[in-house]
Amino acid sequence: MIGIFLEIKDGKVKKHSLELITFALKNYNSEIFTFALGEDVEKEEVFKHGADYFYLVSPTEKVESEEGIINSLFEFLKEKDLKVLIFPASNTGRIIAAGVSALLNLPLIQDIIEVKEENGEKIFKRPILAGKAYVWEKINSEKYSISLRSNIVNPVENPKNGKFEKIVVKGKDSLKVLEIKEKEEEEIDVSEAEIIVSGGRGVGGPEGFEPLRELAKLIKAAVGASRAAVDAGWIDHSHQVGQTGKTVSPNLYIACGISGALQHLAGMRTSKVIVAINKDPNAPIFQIADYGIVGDLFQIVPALTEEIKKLRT
Amino acid sequence: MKILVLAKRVPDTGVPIKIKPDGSGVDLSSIPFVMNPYDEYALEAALRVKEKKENVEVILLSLGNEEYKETLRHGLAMGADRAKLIKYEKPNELDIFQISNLIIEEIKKENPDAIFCGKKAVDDERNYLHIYIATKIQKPFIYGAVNFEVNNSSFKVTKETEKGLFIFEVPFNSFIIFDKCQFEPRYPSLRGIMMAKSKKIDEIIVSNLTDKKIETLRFESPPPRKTGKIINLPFPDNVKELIRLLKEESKVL
Ligand SMILES: Cc1cc2nc3c(=O)[nH]c(=O)nc-3n(C[C@H](O)[C@H](O)[C@H](O)COP(=O)(O)OP(=O)(O)OC[C@H]3O[C@@H](n4cnc5c(N)ncnc54)[C@H](O)[C@@H]3O)c2cc1C
Ligand SMILES: Nc1ncnc2c1ncn2[C@@H]1O[C@H](COP(=O)(O)O)[C@@H](O)[C@H]1O
Repeated sequence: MIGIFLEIKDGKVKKHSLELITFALKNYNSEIFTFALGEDVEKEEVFKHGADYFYLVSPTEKVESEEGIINSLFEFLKEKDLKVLIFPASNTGRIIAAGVSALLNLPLIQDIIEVKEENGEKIFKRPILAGKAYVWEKINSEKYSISLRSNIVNPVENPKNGKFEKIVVKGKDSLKVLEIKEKEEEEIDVSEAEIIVSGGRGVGGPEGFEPLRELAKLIKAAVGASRAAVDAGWIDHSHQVGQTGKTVSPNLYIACGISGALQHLAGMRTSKVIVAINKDPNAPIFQIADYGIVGDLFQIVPALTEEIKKLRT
Repeated sequence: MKILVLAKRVPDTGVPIKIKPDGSGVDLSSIPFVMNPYDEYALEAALRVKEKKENVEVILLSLGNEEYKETLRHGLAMGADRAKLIKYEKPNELDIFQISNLIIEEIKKENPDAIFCGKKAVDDERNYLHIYIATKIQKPFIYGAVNFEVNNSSFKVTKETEKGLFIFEVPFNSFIIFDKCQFEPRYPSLRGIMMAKSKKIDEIIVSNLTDKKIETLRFESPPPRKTGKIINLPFPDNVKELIRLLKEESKVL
């Protein structure tokens, strides 16, 4: 059986997690055993995509820390006989993958972007060196774990009459939270967005992000940023894309006033479509952009917003 | 208090690289090497503890070859007290079990209170050695510190989550894994560089290795993105054309 860890947000299974079910059905000829952590969940989606089992692991005490989650999942998994464990290679998913695999003594490959058969064995591809190279690896073990990057497979429906069960395990957080600074508004997280409108030093200041935010709001995009903009204090680090920020692969990435340094590309080069808006025709970002406009972002971005609005009314 | 900082030597990621034509590896011959940037944040945090409290010893631990000594000297010049190098010619060829076993062995010998390191090595990007180690030696861990302070009896660690910034109270006896921080690592001072010359780098010889569970087969370059087009029309036709392309050609809008 193949085990799949599903991430839940606001009672719903995330799209990235559903992708894992499709991935598993495509690559493993086996029953699909899914599990998640939480109290309540909409389970229909999970069976619609082809899970045979879905276990909701509910700790006796609320666990928030990754360490707490890992220990609770281990309590649940230690007696199970799963051949392969698949995790979403999201920020949290990777940490959970690492901890659970360590406790189960499983080898793990993180952030897989492709798998294929070679000489009757599976081999896995993942990016290294900030996306500038790929490495193929194989695992010499019957049992193992992998984590899969988002947007590698499209979730496909494959309805099954699966079995759901809620399992109570003991749970405990070890770290004490002293303070929480919640995000001001319900923003879309760059690591989950299908479209990202991203700003760099070219936006010139904190207020320079306003036209980007307006466009983002209209097309349901997240707002991203280069490190230059983050380091200048114009926008919070949670928006940063790149080697020291988030790795994203949305369907559309619109880079405004971003030069295209290697460390920035590291975080977004796998985006399906890249648009660059920059007033310097020699900016390296144009070399990886699908479409480019040479011009002032303060003219182009508001015009984009207006034109799209017009088309929609 | 004893703080152990894990530090890796990595190629500078700002420089373009080439894959060897036969796919057997990455050609790093003319690339400058640096201390893994995330490990530098970890070291900076440890040095801040040393400045704030008495009797703090900061020890660097690396697994690597002779060249790692340069990286360790850099860390000693920043202010670490001493360093340990587990000598292995090709550290990037070790798999997770091999490397974690060797590092755990050394951790057990040193028996530090806290262990600090960066969230990932920017070359291999395995991104989980620390959690493997922390889980196996049963130290409480926190991943992704973006800010850090030391109090009388604990650390205060800020971490980014989906819901915003969380500040945790973290006991001294923990494993802290650093992201890019809100502070910058210091540059070694001239005095620091001088003093580093007389600081000790202990070498440890690797005697036995477990079998490899994860094997590297080959490397390849990412496919080049197909050359895009610059929309060379006057404003506002360029904007209209862009929207048309996004809708009709690539269907992402
Ligand atoms: C270890 C390390 C890690 C790093 N990690 C990251 C990372 O995670 N993410 C990241 O982004 N960077 C990272 N960097 C930094 C990276 O090297 C670059 O410095 C950074 O990406 C530059 O940001 P930028 O493109 O916004 O700024 P710049 O390079 O200054 O580019 C600004 C661009 O805006 C254009 N422009 C200016 N005004 C306008 C206007 N009105 N309209 C249109 N265009 C305009 C300019 O032509 C220019 O091309 C890292 C660096 C190091 C050393
Ligand atoms: N050879 C090494 N020597 C010392 N520390 C290492 C080594 N490899 C990895 N690390 C540490 O483990 C962290 C995670 O590395 P990785 O799992 O390889 O991405 C790095 O940030 C380093 O702190």
